[in-house]
Amino acid sequence: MELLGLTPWALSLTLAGLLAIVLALYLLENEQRKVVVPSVLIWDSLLTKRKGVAWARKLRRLLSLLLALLIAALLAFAIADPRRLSKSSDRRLIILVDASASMQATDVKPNRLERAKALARALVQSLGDSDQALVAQLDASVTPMSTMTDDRAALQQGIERIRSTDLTGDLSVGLAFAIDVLGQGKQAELFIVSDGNLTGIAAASRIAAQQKQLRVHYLRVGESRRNVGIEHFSVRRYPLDKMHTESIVRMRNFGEKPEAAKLKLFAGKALLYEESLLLPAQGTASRTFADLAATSSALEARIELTAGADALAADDRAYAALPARKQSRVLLVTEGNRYLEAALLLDEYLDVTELKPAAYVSAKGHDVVIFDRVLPLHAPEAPALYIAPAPVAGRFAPFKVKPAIDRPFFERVDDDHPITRALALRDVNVARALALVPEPGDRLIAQTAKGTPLLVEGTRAGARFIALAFDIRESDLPLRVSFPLFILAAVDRLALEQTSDAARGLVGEPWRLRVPDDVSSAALEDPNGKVTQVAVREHEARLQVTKAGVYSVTAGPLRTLLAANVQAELEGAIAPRDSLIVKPGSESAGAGVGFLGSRMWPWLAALAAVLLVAEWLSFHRRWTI
Amino acid sequence: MNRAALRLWLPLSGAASCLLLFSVLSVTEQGPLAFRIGAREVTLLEPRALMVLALLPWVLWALSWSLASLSRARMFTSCVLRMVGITAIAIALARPITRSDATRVSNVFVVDVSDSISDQALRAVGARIDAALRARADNNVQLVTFAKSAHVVPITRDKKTLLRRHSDGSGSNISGAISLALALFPPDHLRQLVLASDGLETHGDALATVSWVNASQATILTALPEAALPAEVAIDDIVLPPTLKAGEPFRLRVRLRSTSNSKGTLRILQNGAPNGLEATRSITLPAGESDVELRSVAYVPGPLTYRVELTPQGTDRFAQNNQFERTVEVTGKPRVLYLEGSREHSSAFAELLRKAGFDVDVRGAEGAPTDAAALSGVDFYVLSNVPHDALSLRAVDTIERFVEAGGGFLMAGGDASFGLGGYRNTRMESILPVRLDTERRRDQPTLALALVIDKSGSMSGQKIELAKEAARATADLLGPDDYLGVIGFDAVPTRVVRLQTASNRLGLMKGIGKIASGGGTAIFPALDAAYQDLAAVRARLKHVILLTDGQTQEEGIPTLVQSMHVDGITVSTIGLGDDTNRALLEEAARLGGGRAYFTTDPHNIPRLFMRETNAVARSSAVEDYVAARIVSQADFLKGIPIDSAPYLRGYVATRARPLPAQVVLESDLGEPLLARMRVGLGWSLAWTSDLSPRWSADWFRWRSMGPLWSQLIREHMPKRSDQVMRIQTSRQGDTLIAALDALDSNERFVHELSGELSLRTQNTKDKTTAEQRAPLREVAPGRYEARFELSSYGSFVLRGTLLRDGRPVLSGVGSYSQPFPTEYASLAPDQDLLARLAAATGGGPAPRAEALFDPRGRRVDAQTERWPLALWVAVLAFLLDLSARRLRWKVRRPQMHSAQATVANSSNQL
Repeated sequence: MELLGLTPWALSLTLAGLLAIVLALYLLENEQRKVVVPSVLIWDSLLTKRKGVAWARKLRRLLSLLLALLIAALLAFAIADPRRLSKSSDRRLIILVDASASMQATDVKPNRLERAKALARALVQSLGDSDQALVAQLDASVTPMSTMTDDRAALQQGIERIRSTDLTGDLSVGLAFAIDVLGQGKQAELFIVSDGNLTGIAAASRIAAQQKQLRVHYLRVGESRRNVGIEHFSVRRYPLDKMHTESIVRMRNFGEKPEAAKLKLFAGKALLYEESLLLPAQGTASRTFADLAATSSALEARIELTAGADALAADDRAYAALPARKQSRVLLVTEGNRYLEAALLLDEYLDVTELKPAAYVSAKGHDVVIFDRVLPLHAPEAPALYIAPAPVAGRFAPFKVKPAIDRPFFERVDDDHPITRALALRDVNVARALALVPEPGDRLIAQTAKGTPLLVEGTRAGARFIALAFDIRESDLPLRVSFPLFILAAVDRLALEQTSDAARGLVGEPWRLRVPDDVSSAALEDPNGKVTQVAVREHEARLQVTKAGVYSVTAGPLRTLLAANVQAELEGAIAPRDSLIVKPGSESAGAGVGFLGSRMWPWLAALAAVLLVAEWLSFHRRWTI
Repeated sequence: MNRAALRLWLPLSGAASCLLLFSVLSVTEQGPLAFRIGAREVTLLEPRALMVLALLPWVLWALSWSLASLSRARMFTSCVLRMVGITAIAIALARPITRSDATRVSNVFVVDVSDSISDQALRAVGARIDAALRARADNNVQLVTFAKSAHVVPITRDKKTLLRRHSDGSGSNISGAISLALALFPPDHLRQLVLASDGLETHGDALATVSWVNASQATILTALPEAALPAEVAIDDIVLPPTLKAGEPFRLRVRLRSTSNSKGTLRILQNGAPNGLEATRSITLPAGESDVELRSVAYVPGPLTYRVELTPQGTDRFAQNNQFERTVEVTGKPRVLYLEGSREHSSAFAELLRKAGFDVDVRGAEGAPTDAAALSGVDFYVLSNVPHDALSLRAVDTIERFVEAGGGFLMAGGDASFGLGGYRNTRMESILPVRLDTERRRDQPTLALALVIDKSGSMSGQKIELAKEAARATADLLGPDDYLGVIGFDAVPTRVVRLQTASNRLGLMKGIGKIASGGGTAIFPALDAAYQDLAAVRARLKHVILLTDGQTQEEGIPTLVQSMHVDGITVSTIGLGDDTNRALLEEAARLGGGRAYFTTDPHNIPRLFMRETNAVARSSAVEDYVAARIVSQADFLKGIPIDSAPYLRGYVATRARPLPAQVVLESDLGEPLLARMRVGLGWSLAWTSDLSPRWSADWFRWRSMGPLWSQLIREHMPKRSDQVMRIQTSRQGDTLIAALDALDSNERFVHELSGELSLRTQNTKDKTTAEQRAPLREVAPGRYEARFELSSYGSFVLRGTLLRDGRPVLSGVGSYSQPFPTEYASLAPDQDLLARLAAATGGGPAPRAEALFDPRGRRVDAQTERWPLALWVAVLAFLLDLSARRLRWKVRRPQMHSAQATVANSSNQL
């Protein structure tokens, strides 16, 4: 037992004082009531009679005193805030509330997350007074909603702050967090309030098995497994034919009965496609569409069950968006090159300005500058494509050059590079090429058999560049299909145009979006129109969203759409797990789990209140005096 | 109190009690109850405890039938005080709290103890924490240390803080540590995280935690442990060709990084054994990044792991990053398909190639592949002295596709190759780097050719049509100065095309088209007619090709043919079907100085005509001693002393094509000996001499013959198989994501494929291998992804196949290398990250210890429990209540009347 409200000395003094006062009040002569009577004869006999029961009167008086003393003592002890030093004291608990997408299922009312929060509230309510707890939200990561505290109000407020996400829950992350926070304490306990639809269970079990002191409890929520969801929806440009796209939508019935459903595709609010289909139990169905997406529009796929809504609405909608094609401003500095001009004309999103070398002053205001057999006086301000960059005295030279090589061939081509991935360059005939001397850090995209670079990528004076080592007119490259593809791919890469990337986004997964070089921050607008700033590092905006929908990213002149979807193949399987099997021998607990409170003052005060009423009643009925 | 009153008050009290209970329940349904008293906000944390107030009506009820002899005033006073006491207890049980501002500061030091932080830096941070502990007063200081995981470390003012490293120091998870630290702040304190880290995070995303930090009303102060860069050398990468062929020498590039000019030694291992061509090299490392190229060759097919170890001279912070591993797929010996027209001559060249490390498949002309699948795995195709008519159209088509797809092809000369083999004006000629149409030498004669074609009834139908086609093709082969006549015969000969120059092609074709079958078979008149025609023209070469499918009278024919031969007219015969008089035709050919051919398939007729025509039309073989000389340099000639090469004894005369074809070697006569040309993605080469001892006997004895052909084939074979796609890799935390794009020949996405990827890693030290498998799932149109949890470091090979209905559609190979944790990959602190973290949370650089506890004008909402006060009120009310009941309220006056009786309170009522 320990006292937190008063010190033992203070309690002793308080008790002594109170008891003394009460005793004094009882020892002092009570005020006698004066009654004027016509005769006292009658009283004599009465008083004589009462002498026989004096002991009873004394007892009632003593009982009254004892009650008063008890009430005073109870109140004094309550003020002293005594606590028991029992085995259950100093318990440290973490309550992980699963807020992943599957917890939005409405098979229990109002939904699984609210049910989980109610369970968490009940847990907090039943905490021992000396217990400390921390409430945290579990999804792909762990977000602490409170500190480790015995303040139930703070814990309750933390529970209220838990919000549902469209993320996938990762139990191993939650368990690692719990172990970090709880340390090696003997009274460490972890409560996981979840439907058990989590990833990382195997890893968590391995971690838990090594934590002998940690007790793990699983509070299960959820009942149904009936759910049909859109497992996958995305749109992608063809690698070469970037003007056209293909979309794919895949639906899955996670339930045990076949479901009739209707698939609808929208662009904005416009209905593009509708189809009724029957999804077999545990089965999938896929549909592909060509050119469904306009250039920068977002698509939405919905699936509606004929026999009424399923339990989980979060995976009934999915979104897809193509990275927007921006109007890139290209400055072509050349004495004249019909091949180049023709290639650049093929892309309607290129705004090409052509200058004679003598007229070139600066590349400011352009996304890409192409130097065709010429070099600028100073390092260009924009990313540059150099074609045959032979050094000239007094001009900026991105490369040192060795004697020219005759009849080089593209022998070693980096087939993983975005520019050359889809190009056939090995049969290109080149009369001669500059022997560029690459600098450390340069990426050699294509080389001759001897390793002489023919196509190089790198950075000079802070600006990115791609360099082609030969004059295209001294080769048959312009006569090939590869040529416009090469030029456009190079311009796209320099202008950070991300046209061929597979536009697939999942909530919770990191997203890196290349932004213009001079941009230091980006704005992310969520589907509700809320704008937040996101960090830009190494020319990449690093994004991570927790809700499915279509997002808009603005980074300087770049504005593009991103679609994020629920990871339905994981979250759509909503059947609650009976056991997490986190740790052999760990306990599963029901909703009624709780703790015996070790804080005593409320009980003492409540007893005092009851005694006050009892004493009041006994006094007025004269059971005590 | 009468019973009627009791009956009235009892239900009233009960009703009032229930009303209070209901009111409390309804008001407190939403949880904690907050209200203001004046300027102070009060919150009842357990408002349902107010249900105790339901006792109050019973206090009043007791008065209604009280037996106590108290005055009304005292009764009232006592009642009020009792109710106040009970109310105070109810309020206490409801746990009232009041809120106020506090300025105490809690600093949680979040200290990076990963391997990238030096011991010296940790000591400095420890001292800083001790200083904060000394200066904390009533503020709070706590400590979290982290590497890959984070732990809370107890600290006290009395004991010097010792920062211990974690066992998982090869990683840094700043976000995890921040997350843990946020859970540690005590209530009623301003919250500050003092992040002592170099900002080099290997796991998690610290910037993603900014929103949590802000939601927790905490700020991040940063304390960079160390500013000066330690001396460090590291291997950043090994750059290898995507795929290697066994026995193919190549160069690997080692990318190095150093913080200062230094020296060291590189050691290169192949699957744990020293690299054969270059096992060690002493290097000088300039400050910054640099590359070193090393030679190597792989001999054994399969995954090959290169390991490069750097032993620096001088100080080096991390030994972990002085090694690098990368695995590359060695696809086996280069495979050469060698089709030799004369099998008896194939052994010398095949043996030469085998010695040079090639896997050689020697076949005759009949073994020519007729579909692409049969050529899968073949790197180089040699067609030596195989006549065109020995190749089916599909075989020719397969060669063309093979070359266009990237394969290497070489046609070698001989008496049945190039023009001599009937390749002129064929599809094959179009992919050869030499021209066959101008090989006629100036001293070659003009030709007068008579085609004597059986048009009897047995030739009707397909036979006669194919014979006409053969005649047309023959006409195409002839030069404009040559003569051609066509004599159709049955019982009597008919001159369907009178002997005339081949320049009148239209007339020739028209005449040939008029041939119609019918009648018997009489060869002699037809041969005689041809004899007469040819005898009348001036031509250096005069030749008859006789085609027949039936029996005929032998009488006179041998004599006639002999006479023709005497007059310079040669005769060749073609027998079609089983009924031909084989002996007669063979004898006629022998006596006529020509050749006899027999076939049962009429489809062979055109080929036989063309072959025969080519054979007789010209003799482009140059059979003389010729020397080879270099026309244009090529990489494969490197180290080959062509100038000292022996003489060749002959070759087939051809002519160089214009660019992009390139003649590499030529004869003394200026005619191509070796030429090459890009065709599609592959190479086509022509070696106009042969690959047999007939013309190249001296070259086979030449020491450089092997290296020449080895280098030639290696340079021109495909560098990688285009049937195999590259697997792209990226990493998210400990997860490796491998992606494979499936596109068809029209560059359209391929859907609904299934398959799996395998991820293999080999421990180069103990030679053990481990393999993981993961399914490939279509995650975007045409993009298939597999994910692997990486639990170890090293070099990995990825391989997988996409299937449809169990049949392979596409396969992919790739590799991924992470030989050491990224903790050791970077040296300079990421100050940008630290600055962004601080700025995003309203923090900045951490100040000195005392200033850490400066609230800087900030306040935090502090809560104070008020239940003890309520209980004190209850105590006071109780004591006053007792006093009211038991103490006199006024001074007793003197007794005025004897009859007055004083009785005790307790007995004043009967």
